[in-house]
Amino acid sequence: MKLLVVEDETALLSEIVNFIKQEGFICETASNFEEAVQKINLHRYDCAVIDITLPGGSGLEIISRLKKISVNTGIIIVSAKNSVGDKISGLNLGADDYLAKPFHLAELNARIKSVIRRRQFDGKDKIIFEEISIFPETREVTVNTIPVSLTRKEYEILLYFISNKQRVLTKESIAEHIWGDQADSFDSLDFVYSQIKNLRKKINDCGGGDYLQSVYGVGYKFTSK
Amino acid sequence: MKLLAKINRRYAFFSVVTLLFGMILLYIFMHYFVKSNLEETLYSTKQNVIKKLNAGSKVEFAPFIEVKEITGKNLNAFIDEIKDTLIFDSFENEYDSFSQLKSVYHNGKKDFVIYIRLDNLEKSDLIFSVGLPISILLLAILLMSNFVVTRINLSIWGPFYENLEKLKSFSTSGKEKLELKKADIDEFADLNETLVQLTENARRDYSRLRDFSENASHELQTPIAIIKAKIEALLQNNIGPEESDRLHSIYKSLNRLTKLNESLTLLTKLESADYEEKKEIQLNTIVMRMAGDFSEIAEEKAVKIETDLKQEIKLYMNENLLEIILSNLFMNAVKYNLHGGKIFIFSADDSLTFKNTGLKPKKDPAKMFDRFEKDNPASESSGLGLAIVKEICEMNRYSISYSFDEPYHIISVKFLKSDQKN
Repeated sequence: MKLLVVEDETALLSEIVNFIKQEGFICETASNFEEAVQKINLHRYDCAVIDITLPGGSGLEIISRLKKISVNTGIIIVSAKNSVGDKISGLNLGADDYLAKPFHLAELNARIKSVIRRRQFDGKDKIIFEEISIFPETREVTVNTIPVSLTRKEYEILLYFISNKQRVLTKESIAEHIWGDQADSFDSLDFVYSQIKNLRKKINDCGGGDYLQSVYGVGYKFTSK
Repeated sequence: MKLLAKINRRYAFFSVVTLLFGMILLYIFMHYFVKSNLEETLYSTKQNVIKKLNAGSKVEFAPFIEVKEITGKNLNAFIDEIKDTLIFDSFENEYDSFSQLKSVYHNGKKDFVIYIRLDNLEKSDLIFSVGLPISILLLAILLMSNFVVTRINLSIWGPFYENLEKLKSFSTSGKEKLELKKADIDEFADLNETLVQLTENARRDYSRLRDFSENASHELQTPIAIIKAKIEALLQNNIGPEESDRLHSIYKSLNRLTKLNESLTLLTKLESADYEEKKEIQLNTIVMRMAGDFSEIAEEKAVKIETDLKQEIKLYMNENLLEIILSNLFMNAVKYNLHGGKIFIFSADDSLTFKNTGLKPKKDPAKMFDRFEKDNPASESSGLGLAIVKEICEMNRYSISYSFDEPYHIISVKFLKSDQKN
């Protein structure tokens, strides 16, 4: 899998690249408009992460050019301007997703994987982690081929964890991934714990391993040990 | 008090004072004039009487002229004396006031005392005959001038009041410039010019401030994003509990900063083109959908959401803005609820009310919608949620109210009738 990250803030760019590279992706970067245009003309990418405000031109322009060159490239917009207008015009140009800065790296990672899945396999592939299989198209989960009935939230959490294996996911990041802005309604993030407790129990009940580790007070890590 | 009323009142007061003063002067003048005229008549009558006495004829016309012969009196006390006296008038059966000239005359043979009397003009008659016509005149002048002045004032002040109304509805955040009605009076033209300039300055300052806040909050997003990414990367490392704790605490504060900045950005953007598009919206549909969304979160706190939406309310507004209002109200109702509490949402003709259980607020309820007003200063909320709701309501000219009726917090949004197309 080959990715292009277009972002003018090099400090942010390097963190994004570090994070994504650990997922086994080949990652190229561009930090301005010209560079980005050159790269999309020369190479084919499975997914491009594009910042809208760039020196030398607009990220929206890159998206429309990219769409002409390679229809199948998945596109995720990241923007500091959390603007409804930008979001709509970006999605209209053919972008798959929009992420406002600042975002959680794990969230970006999960979205990249989701976009690639949709683009490459029409969402028809299955995600396998040890004895756990996830079928994104039908939102079904099996453990040791036994179907597990998960609530929508539990399913989302499991998918988020499996997209970010071996990573520490903060409670905040999980809460925002599942509840979005509504997560602000909570005065504490204890509810994340109860969701995870249920999820762990359901997997264990089907003979699945205990992959969910608690990391101090910070959050959780999904790991095969 | 209105300027015109004040002017009229002053004018009336001074008119009355001036006219009263004038009447008193007039009375004094007339009194003096009548009196001196009377005395002249008395003396000339006396001369006529003396002529007749000298001619040997008897003169008597009581009570106006009386002549008495006297003897053995001290004739040196030769005096002309005028005084007022009361004489009984048997005809009218009352005492009348007379001016009387008492004079002693010696015609060589006899001594006479001559009384000449003239009916005094009665004071009340004088006042009446002078006062009444003048009072009528005064009243007529007052009414006339009041009428004329009011007429003139109305036409002169008309544009002023019109402009005042325009000024009242002027908003520094609005898109329109202040357009005032032209005045042909220098002072008003001056005032208009100053006002237009003033409001333009206010508008410009406001728009600069808004641009500044918008840019500032945008510019903040990038460094926040970098810090966040770096902390998340650090958290991946195998670090000890102590460091991890510190990092997480930085991370949490950063999240708080992020939320705060997002809210500020939203506040500055409410009037941008992003939220301009309006359409007809079924309020009930959106409320029910969001109630569904929030019920899961509410369940975490064992809070029950009950809705009672009888009225089908259709609104004409921006859908995103309505969603922002509702999600803030929902968040508020969940966040400040008690464990196992309740949220009631009900609608009336033109209003939507959120009623939720909660602790008694420590702050002044009137400040509930102010920016950064938090009931608990230590809370991690931005203190901007309800301020955003209020801002959107004001933009749409909806009114919003808060009250606390133990143990319920009640927030009610009243929509504009004209926005509803029933």
